[in-house]
Amino acid sequence: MTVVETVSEVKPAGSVDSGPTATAESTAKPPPFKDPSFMHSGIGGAAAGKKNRTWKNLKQILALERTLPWKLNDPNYYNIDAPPSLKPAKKYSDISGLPANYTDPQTKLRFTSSEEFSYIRLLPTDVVTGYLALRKATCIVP
Amino acid sequence: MATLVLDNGAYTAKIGYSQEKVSVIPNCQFRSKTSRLKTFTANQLDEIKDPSGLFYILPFQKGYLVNWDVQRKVWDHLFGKEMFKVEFADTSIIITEPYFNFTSIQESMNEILFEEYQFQSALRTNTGSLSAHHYFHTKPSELCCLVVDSGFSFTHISPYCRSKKMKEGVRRINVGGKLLTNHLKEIISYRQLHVMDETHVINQVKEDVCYVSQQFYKDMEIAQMKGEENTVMRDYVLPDFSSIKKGFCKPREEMVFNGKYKTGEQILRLANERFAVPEMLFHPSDIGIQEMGISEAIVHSIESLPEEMQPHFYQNIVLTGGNTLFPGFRERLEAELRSLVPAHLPVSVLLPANPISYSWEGGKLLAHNPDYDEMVVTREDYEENGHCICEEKFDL
Repeated sequence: MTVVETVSEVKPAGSVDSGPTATAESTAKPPPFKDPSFMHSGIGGAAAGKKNRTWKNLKQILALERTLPWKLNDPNYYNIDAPPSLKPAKKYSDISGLPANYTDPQTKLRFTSSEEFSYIRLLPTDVVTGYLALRKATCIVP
Repeated sequence: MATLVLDNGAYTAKIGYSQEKVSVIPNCQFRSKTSRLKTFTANQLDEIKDPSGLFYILPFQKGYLVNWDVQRKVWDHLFGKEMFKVEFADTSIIITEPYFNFTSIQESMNEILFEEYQFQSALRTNTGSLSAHHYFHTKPSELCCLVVDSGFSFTHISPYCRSKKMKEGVRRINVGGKLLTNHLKEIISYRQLHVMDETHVINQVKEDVCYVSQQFYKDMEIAQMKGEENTVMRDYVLPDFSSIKKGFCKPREEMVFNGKYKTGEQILRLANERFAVPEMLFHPSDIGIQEMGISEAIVHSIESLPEEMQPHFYQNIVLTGGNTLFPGFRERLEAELRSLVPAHLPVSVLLPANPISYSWEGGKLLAHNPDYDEMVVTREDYEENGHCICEEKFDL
């Protein structure tokens, strides 16, 4: 225990890389729940030489979480998501943000007035898809 | 022994010793356009002379801590000599994490707190639990409370009964401050000026001009008017970081309604954007996020709980998190809830004086609780029992 504390005094800001931590653990008594023969890949294994330990990214964590044996009614990340709203969505003009009563059948953009309509028809396709992506409406099937 | 309370949010960390006051510090690193090679950590933001095109490196992704390297750099800075001078061997830490945090993230957190920083003891908890603790402390006669935490990554609704979290009632809406800023950034870029790289500036614009509309369609009509009649319209002067350090709204008397300004400042003219952006918190389906808005989700959450508790929850709704600072947020939420909730049940929504640090204050109160020492996991406990003891003791 004392060994651990002296180490922490030497590096008061906390050890950033995994190197010094590993020495701290090997000089101190390793906690009994840790596999004593475990060698971190960043120190002696495949990723040796790389300074930092690699962490799972969110996608990997989410995929892992999905495989856990959840029961149907357990609250978890996936089912605390609020269900779809029962109220109808408001329709704004994509160009000006004002309430829109009309949709251009060709580009599927919404518009308020005839000036906006003539403007829409002049827009190049990439800008049109950009506008649609803003309200996540790029998908062809609604 | 000192107790450090750290409400580790995805955008700002609320940190301070339990004897002292809270500091709200950006929980991220920055790169600026002018000094490309240097990375600025947390409150070194103030040292950046030209924060245009400021680049954020965030430790959080969708509200979950995944980028530990960045997080440790920020923590090293916060715990280090320049800021809090933490004596790890003699310090206990209260730290927050999101609801239903993933096991692998929780284990990494344990390892980093106990093995790398070597804190003497730690208490990991949810932000909402601290807020609820604060609420029950100020109103000891109340039985239940519903914490609405609208933060940077998402909005959580969590019911607490006698400081116990009702897990089955927790709801999440994937709309947070980050989404609002990004949406404002995108619509401004499409409609007037390209600002896609200026997250920092647009975030300031959002905080300065956006508000929650009480009557959406009426405000929309006003926003369509021309000239002086349009009382919603604001001209926002963008900062150039030489003579104008911080953006501001032009006073109404100085606004030029027809033609251009002669002063040569860069102006954003905002009308319906001012309330259409925060409206997404109440109607995420407007921009294609198929989820309930806050008020609907609150009702949905409360209705999933035992019937005899429901009146208590409707009377004790407390708002925390930065988004609740939009003017009109509380009034709008209360009005919408009133129309959704049965008429015989009273509805009351409380907006605390400082919703951002409300849960930190709760942590401060918890640190002075006589039972605090029994709630924590000490380093000896951890070294003997590992992750199991943390899983048992912490209610996450």
